[in-house]
Amino acid sequence: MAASANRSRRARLRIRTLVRGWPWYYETTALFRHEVIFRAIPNTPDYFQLDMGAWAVTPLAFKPHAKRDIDGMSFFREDFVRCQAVAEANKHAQKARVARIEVAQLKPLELEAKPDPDVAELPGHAIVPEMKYRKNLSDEQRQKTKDRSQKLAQFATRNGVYSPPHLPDPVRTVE
Amino acid sequence: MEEGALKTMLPNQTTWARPAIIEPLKGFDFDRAASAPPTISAIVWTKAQPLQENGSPQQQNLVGIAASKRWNEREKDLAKMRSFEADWDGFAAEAPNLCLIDKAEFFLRVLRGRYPDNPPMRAVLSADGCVAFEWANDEKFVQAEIIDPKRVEWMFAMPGQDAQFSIEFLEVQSQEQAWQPAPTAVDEPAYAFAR
Repeated sequence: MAASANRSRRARLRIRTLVRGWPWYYETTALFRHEVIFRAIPNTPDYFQLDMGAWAVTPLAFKPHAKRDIDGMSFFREDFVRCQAVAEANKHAQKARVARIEVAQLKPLELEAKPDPDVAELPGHAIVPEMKYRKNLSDEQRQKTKDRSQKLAQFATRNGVYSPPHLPDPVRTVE
Repeated sequence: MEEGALKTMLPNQTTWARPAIIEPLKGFDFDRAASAPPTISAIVWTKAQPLQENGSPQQQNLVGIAASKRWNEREKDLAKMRSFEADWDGFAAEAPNLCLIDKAEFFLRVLRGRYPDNPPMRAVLSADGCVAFEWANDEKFVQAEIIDPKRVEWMFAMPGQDAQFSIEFLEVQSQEQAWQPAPTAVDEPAYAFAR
């Protein structure tokens, strides 16, 4: 949906977004408490394995990354982009699944999601600044981040992971 | 831990079972584990009574074969990780740190000696090139991550609770140490004579 450059892209037209003020609901709008955010999970056992119970999504899927998570951990807002598009945007050879996190689930972890529109990315880019990559962490800081990662992995597993149709179970292949 | 692994012990024998984190997924004392890092020297061996039921030699063999298969799978996982290149996840991941994979292979052998019936359920490579081993079910999660060439960080988590951590130090022989012949004993008079 086209929008003026300063206001960035507009939300998808849905009942949810109408309630929230569409057509004046842009990427720059602060995230709502009951909004859902997506994160792609490459279809490899390193990120997802069905027989791992409440941690089928590995905590490493929410580990801050030196290149991707400089300003904060990246997510996409469901109000602006479909999970199918997030899955397709991942370039992994075996495709990707998509994890869902509710914004309200971030609060107990002392995390907050903020809009971060980026024309180079899919619409609805958001970041969680507290989960940005940091160098030279103390043991305590690193463990706090790992605890948050494993809790996010639990939420992602509990909320259900989107799998594109006919996506095979993750298999480790030689790249 | 494989279901009923302790039950597979031969009847009427006194055996010594490995406690501590041999059973991290069922009844594992997380508080105790966090306060006492699972180093080799910290393991306390306890006396276990053999159980009669489900302890037939056939079942014992099956458990052993299943565990052995999973250990081999983890070794293969690590071997495959070596061939990964940068951006292996399509998400700008770094190439694996081969030094850490070496340490992970060493640590896997340590784990196999320590908990032969409890192979990791998965070996994972993170986007920053670190390697970790994980065990999990619906109630508990254990992760051992090689955070640098000398340290393994254990994480024990349960739903609704903060994770607990402990660090284990890896003391691995270098290649030189491993291949160098053991120093021969030199008795003092002979050494003096040589001078």
